[in-house]
Amino acid sequence: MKHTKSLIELSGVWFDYHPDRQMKEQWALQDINLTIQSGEYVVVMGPNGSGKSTFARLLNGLFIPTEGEVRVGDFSTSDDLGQFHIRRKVGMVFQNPDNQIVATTVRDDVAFGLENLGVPREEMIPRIEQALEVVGLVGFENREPAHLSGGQKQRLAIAGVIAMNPDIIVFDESTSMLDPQGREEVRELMKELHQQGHTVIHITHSAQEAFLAERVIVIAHHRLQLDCPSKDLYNQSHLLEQWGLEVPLPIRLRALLKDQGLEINEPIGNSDEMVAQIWRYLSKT
Amino acid sequence: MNSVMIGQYIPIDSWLHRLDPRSKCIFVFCMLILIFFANNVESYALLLFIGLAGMVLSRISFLLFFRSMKLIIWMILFTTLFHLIFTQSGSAVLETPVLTIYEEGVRQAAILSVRFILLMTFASLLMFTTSPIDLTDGLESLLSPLRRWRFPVHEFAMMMSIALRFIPTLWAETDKIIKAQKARGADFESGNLYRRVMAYIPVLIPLMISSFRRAEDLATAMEARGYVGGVGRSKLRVLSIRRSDVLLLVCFAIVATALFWMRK
Repeated sequence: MKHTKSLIELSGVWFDYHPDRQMKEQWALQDINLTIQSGEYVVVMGPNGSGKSTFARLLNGLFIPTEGEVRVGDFSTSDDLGQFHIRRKVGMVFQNPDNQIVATTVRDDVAFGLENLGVPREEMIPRIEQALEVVGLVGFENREPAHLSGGQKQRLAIAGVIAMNPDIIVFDESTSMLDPQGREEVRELMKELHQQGHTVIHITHSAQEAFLAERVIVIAHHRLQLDCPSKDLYNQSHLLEQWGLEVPLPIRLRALLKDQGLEINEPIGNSDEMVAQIWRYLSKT
Repeated sequence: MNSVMIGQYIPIDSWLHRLDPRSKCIFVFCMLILIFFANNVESYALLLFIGLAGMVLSRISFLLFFRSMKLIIWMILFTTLFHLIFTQSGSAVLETPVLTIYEEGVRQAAILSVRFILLMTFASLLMFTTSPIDLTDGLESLLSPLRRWRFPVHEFAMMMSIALRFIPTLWAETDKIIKAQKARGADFESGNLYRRVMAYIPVLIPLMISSFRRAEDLATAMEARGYVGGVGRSKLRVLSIRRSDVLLLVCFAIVATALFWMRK
């Protein structure tokens, strides 16, 4: 489903948990204006407590903006009727793999969202199978969640979301509690889902993961600070530090080498590309 | 340890395992009532025979049934002793200088012991052959008429199944907290009973706090997946009454009639 108009639109969004008790300058999110197109792969980065998780929850109507509006497709999250449609359109994978699995077996958990939507049983069965195939959990149908690894649990959560056939999948720090292997599995899956045409929004505090996406949004001090293609990110490395974000090694290295007068101008996406560029530079001299 | 905590389901395949949880629940529940109607040797013999047949059909080793009897052995001993000492009617069977045991006492003790054993046998048969989640589904379906009186049947079943889902998680967490407290010098093994119980407070408090956090996370995750309560939900798991379920209920009807006929 490709739309020409934007899929998600935040206009003049202000939000706070206790808007009546707080000064407006201290609200959790302040004056967010943003559009996301269908099929985009966006990373939302920000230090702890910056409001990025709150931002994620505004996208599917778990939180309703105190001021302004969040629109997903043709619906507004402020609208009660729209909310049910939005929940179906915007899937969400959370941080803690344990705390988002509802049912006692893998199959039942994938079914949970479909049951909520009232999907008939005959339709549910192939959709569950398909979702488990995408995340690579075929053969685990009758396993208990307690017997899965962290990465597998997170993949199960993803299966539960994609069975509902959403347009947008929001990952709210979904990799932060996993071991390196589990993290890699989930990142791979994000890439795959994006290639299949889903709009992927990945909330993270790791600057390293920003390179996986096409577009980077930085939220710090409760405001939207930066919105650029990820390839432009390394020119902004000083800014990242200023917002308390850890700058990934290849970016820092590139900035330092550039300061030393080395001619490294091509954009880099990861450490392999950095290595390739250093070789290219060395072979030229 | 986990398997002990989550009911006592023994996941093998047998005729009893394949039965619909609803018919098993009804059967066992009615059996438990029948046990109190039986009042002579023949009827108890019949019930014991049915219990034995159930054990054979479940294909579960007798040893496991014996082990479950251990839980009630003290209850049996206590009531037996109680009746032997305090029931004083009928003719004396045994006379000692300290106490006299009467015929009626022996009779009552025997009846109660057999009743306990029967209760435990049928309860174990249900628990051993029905997975907790099937049991929850069955109960939800059986209780669904209560919805008319606004009893929250769906919510009740959802709570049960979430509890089942989180038992292993919380158990693992308890284990972790115990280890963490031990590493900080907590002592769970010495002192009197009071001390030992009190030693678990530093385990229970973090466990409670984290459970509340989990509950909140889970509620958010459920909401994000479109959960709005039982209305308009479809179900993946379906329960179906088959021929063997009908057969079970027919068996029950025969037994019930036989028992009423045998009753004096």
